[in-house]
Amino acid sequence: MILLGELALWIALPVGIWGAVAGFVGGRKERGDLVLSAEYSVYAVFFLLILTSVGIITAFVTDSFEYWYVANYSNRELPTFYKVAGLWAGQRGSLVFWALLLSFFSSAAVFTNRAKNREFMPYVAGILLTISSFFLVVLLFADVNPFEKLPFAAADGRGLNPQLQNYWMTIHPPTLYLGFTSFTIPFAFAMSALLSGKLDTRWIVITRRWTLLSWFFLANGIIFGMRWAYEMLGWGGFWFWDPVENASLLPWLTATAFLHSIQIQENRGMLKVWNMGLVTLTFLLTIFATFLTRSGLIESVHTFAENTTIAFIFLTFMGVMAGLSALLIAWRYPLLKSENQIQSFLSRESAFLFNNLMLLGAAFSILWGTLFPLITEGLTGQAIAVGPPFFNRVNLPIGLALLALMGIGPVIAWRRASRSNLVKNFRMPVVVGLMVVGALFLRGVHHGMALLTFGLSSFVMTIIIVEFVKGTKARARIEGEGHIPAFYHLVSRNRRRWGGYIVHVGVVMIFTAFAGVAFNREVIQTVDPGETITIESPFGDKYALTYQGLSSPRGENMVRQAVALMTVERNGRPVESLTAEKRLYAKWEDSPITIVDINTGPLEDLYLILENVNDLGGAFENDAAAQRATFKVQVNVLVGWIWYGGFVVTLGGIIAMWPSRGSTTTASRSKTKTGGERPALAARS
Amino acid sequence: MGLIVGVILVSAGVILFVMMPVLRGDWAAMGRSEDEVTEVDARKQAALRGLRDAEYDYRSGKIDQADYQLLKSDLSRQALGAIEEESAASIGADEGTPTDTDAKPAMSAGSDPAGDSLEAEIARVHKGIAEGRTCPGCGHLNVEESRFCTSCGGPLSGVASTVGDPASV
Repeated sequence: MILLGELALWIALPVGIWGAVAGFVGGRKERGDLVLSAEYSVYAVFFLLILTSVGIITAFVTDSFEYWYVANYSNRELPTFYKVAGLWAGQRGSLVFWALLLSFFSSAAVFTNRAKNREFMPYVAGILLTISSFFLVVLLFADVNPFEKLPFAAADGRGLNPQLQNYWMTIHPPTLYLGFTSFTIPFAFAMSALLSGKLDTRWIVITRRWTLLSWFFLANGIIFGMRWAYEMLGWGGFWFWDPVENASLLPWLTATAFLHSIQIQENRGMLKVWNMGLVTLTFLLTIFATFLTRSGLIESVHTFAENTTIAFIFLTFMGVMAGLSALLIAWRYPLLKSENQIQSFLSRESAFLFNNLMLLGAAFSILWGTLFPLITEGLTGQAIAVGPPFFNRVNLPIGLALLALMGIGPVIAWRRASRSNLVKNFRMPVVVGLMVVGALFLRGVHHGMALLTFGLSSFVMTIIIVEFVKGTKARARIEGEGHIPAFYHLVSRNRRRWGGYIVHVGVVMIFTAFAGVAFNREVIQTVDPGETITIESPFGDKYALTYQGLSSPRGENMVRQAVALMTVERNGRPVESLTAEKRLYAKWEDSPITIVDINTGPLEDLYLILENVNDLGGAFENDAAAQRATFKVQVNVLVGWIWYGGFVVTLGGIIAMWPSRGSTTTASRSKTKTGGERPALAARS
Repeated sequence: MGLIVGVILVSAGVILFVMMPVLRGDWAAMGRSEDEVTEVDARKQAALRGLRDAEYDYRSGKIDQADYQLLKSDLSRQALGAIEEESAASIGADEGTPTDTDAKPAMSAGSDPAGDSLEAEIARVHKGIAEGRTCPGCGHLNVEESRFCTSCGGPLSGVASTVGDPASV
């Protein structure tokens, strides 16, 4: 099975190249047989990459340590669960996984368009297979072949990085990868529209749901990553502006900009070049994120990379794709002229345009900060990294401006809004925002940025609630319905708009949670068993954590564990106890891992970190004298709202993506207008 | 031995599968199919969506009456233009190549991504245009319920507005 997997990888490359050539030539020469062969190639590459992936997983599960990749990312004791996840644990497997997901989405796109949008499909197949072929070339010729053998079979592997040995490993990376790879579909349609000259809004309408799907996976992948960092990485926060975190945020920012700006093109026939630029940029950033994670170009806590040469191959590929896209846009520029102009500064178009500029501003500042060490190293020979203060300083005002625009955009009408209406619509939300700020100030909240965030969040929430109420009332009046059916129909008849508003609610909740960080409290204290650490939350809750001592069990694939138990009282009443740990995993004996524990509440979390054990060796040996330990106790304010907000974003995303009644039944069953000298293949259409 | 057989079977199967259309002369459809969204369709839907949104925005007090009338008139013209273009294409197709009969005179509910309420909007636009009023001043055709001409701003005498004050909605 392993050898078959390796062979499948080798067969996939010529099939991919053939399919790409057949797609382009078939489209150009209107040769339906070549186009069909290209589409079959898409399915074939998917099938072959399934075989390759099964081959790699088989190598992991059967402890085939003669393979370099398995020997470096697994060991005999590693639970089977993580052996299966070994497919994406390192650079080599991740590249296969990327190609597999891309080929899956490519097959889905070809299959769902087998009887419609046929004018686009030759080039779509050609572009998708070109990108797949690039990944296959990298895998086979850039010294990252997952099937490379060692000169001898190792007795055991080096084990999986302990930070990856938790369940988030199976959730966070695949979700992000689903987001990265699925965005290739809108990009392929956009390029196909440029190549074929069919530059009306159809490529946007066709790929709208794909764009939403990709955005949805990216948003969830980022939130899952924050959750993983918060629960597992043991430093008490959820976002560190790490290069790999940044790399996942970049395409999400530009995809968000794209989702908004395509509405301007659909409704007003404007920003056609801009949208082409954004779809290309987002695609390139998904590739950038992939190669940054797996290239080792920039040092990161995500230390999965091992081969820097592929960084330059990826950079070349990105440069070529960017150049070709720019040439295509320049070539078709006459067809991409705007049908309208912005009539007024006070219009929804204008608000969307500001939103786009802010999102792109954030993306470029993050890109700049992420690449800064590389740039300074190139110029001065010394890498200078910019830390969280840079990213926070730049992105805080941008974030707040975006928050404000989330409130302003929905209230402003398309084309132009009259000042009197603006005053009428904004009066109540502004008053609510100011009242919230005033009330919080009187309650002792004096942090300027946090107050501004809470004020803007209240302003936006009021606007959204008023939108729902007014919309429901208007619908009830227009259609003569009761309020509940009117509300249901309001949302179900325009899911994009109202689903989008629900996403905004989730984003507002997440922003509110970010502002909560300003009020976090922490205590670091060294204690012996029986001693108590106390901490008071900003909400007035008094916590008392009494240290009960260490125990040393031994979990699966671990050498040692030291588990500290704390009984907890809140305001004098016992609540759930907390355990914090140090773990030594097999094959990683020099790197103790910190495991935290959290008491989660709606407004605050009590977060316990075992910072240090005075005599860790003794503690691991269950030495009764080695009990003295240092703890960090944090009260993290509103952090739970990130996860609640994440749920709301997910809900809104699903509503926005949900197919409208009948929208999936457009496939024709028989006739096509034209295309080749021969009739359409009945069996296929 | 088993491996060699497996390798040969997979390789041969894949090559045969991929090359089959070329060997057998099977052709993929490459033209537009009958009920997919056309460029005119997309324009029409955008105009109708705009009309619906404008009505909600007006009814919920987001835009005032003058802006609403202006917007409605403009969007109605766009929607009607697209519908007429589509109808003309359909008639032309009926008289021309029989295979082109798939261009439909009006969007089907099935292809309407915004829901079947747009179907009703089409009827409303038709009615609005049909009952539109000619301005005695400049001859401009105004949509139903207009109190003032959207071209020159002159009053349309004898018309009692049936559009309620948004404040009363």
